Amino acid sequence: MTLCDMRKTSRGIFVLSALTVVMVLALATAAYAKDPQLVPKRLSSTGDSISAGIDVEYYGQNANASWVNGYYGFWEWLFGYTNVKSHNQRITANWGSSGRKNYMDAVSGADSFDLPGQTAQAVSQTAQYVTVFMGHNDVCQNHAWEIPSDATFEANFRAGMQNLKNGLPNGATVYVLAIVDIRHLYDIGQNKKALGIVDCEVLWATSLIGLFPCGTMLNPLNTEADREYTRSRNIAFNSILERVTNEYQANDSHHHYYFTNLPFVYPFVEGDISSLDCFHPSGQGQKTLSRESWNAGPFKAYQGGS
Amino acid sequence: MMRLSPSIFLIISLSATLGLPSVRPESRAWAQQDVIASLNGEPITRGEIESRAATKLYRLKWEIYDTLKTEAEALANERLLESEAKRREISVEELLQTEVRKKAQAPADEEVDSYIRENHIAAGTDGDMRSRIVMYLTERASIQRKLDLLEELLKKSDFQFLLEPPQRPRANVSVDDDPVRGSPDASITIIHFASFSCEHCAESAQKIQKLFDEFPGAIRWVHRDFLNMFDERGLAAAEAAEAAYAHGKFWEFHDRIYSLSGDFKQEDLGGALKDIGVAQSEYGSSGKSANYILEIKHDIEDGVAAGVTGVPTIFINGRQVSGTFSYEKLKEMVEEELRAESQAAGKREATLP
Repeated sequence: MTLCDMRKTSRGIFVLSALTVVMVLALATAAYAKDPQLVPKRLSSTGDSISAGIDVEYYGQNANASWVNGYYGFWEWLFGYTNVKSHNQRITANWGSSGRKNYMDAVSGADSFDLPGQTAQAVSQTAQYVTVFMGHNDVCQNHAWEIPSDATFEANFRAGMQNLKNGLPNGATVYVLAIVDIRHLYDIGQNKKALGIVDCEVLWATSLIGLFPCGTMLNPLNTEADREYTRSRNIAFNSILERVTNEYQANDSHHHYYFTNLPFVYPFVEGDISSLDCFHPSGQGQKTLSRESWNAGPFKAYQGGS
Repeated sequence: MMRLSPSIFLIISLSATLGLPSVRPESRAWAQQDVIASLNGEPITRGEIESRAATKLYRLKWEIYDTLKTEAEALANERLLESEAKRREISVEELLQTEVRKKAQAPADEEVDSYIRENHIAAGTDGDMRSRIVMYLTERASIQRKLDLLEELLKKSDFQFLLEPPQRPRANVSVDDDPVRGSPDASITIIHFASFSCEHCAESAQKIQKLFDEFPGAIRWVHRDFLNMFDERGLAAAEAAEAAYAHGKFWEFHDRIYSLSGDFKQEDLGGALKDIGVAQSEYGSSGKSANYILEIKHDIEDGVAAGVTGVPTIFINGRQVSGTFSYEKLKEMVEEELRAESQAAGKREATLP
């Protein structure tokens, strides 16, 4: 469905008007015209365990609680789980369920090396809206020297973006989100311990034997300088994500690219982090991530389902 | 004379009817009692709400405290650098250049080789690896130098953070009619919200058992169920435990199941009941099972109301702590409770005529 099809409904007229304003503003600043932006009915998420909804409110995958692909039905209501109001839910709320597809290509443990594969999958799904929230497992390694170089990270990211550029339908949207400030997670873990909620250091200690995924930040033997070094890699990767995304936005007239640094700068609080593993977002955290990323993202004008 | 518009007359008459401008006599009394809401004329006090939402409010207060502390330290660091730069009559950037970047040297080849050897890094697996190690060692040295500089400056100054952290609240958690181990008159009540299928819960049960043994007569231990919707084994085990409880054999079942550290199959539960002398038919009976499930549901509801979000969660006289904490931490809390009890008893004796 393109914007032209939306003229058929009165709701469509409102939506069309709003989107037209956004597009006119965008055109005024763009070097050349872009293809009309498609309504994001076919959603594909690429990324890692955060998008896959790991350890949110119970151990393992909580697909219902993913900030991007999450859903809320009878069972979630019955057991009192958090309604995260995901991008998936917001899309349905704004544009209806007709023609909707919700693909989770994000996989727990994935890093930038997996991005080309995941984006190829999104292309095969004819996605109209692709989210890219990847890089946490690049920053999080067992040892500092295992963190990929800037050149490698950039090459992986570019390979993924090139797949999207070459394969997505014209008018599709790609939304790239910065890597969360992993250092901040460490600080939150300290708070959880001080509050008596959970002794995160006990859980993180398993990073010593490679069982926990983020030794570069959470290994108890790390010095403050080690943690700050990891943070500097975190920042460097985010700069790459931003620069490359802007480059694609400037040079590809067929697709719409957006970047937000919000996951890095947002002041997540103790309740946003899972008490199950002191690492992944909690229900509240996924909900926060969904709300904030939507409100900073390509479809922020559409507040249905918020 | 000014003419009043009809809408103003309407507002005045409505206000008079509803009594909005007048101050009710009870409002003045309520203000003194810190009433923050009312229902059908009955007051709802701040104290009631603070007790009900104790854990939630404590977490929010902690966020405020922590934010203030972190930002105060960050601001102090900025000011220390500015004042040191001013003292040397240079800019902060020049100070960092002189004291950090110039002093943090790139590692020599021997240092890199030594790092590779000490960390048992397999050579030649990745051509990029050596350059990454060099980058890590160089950057880390620079970061460490800056941290050292800040520490030196801090030592020479007098920085104090003056706020006290918020006090951990006591939640009002019901023990309901759930299984109790130990004397009902014990001064310390430990409520364990747990699932039988959870390994961490088995560990926390061991820690409580150790406390129970180390402080004989001082503790009463209450088990309450807490599970999530995918914890089928936990639910089945909780039902079996209810069956055992109905025959006065809960703790035998509890200890037997937790000795398996969560590693059991649903089929094993009937056998475990049989071993302690409870007929398997008790567990499978649908009529009884419905009652058992209601009991379990009640535990979960009470847990949620008390702020439990996951297992294991322990309340020691209402003070919430996760079972992932060390035995020493739990013991410290029990000792604090006993000290407080003893001091309170001392005060009572002192005031006796």
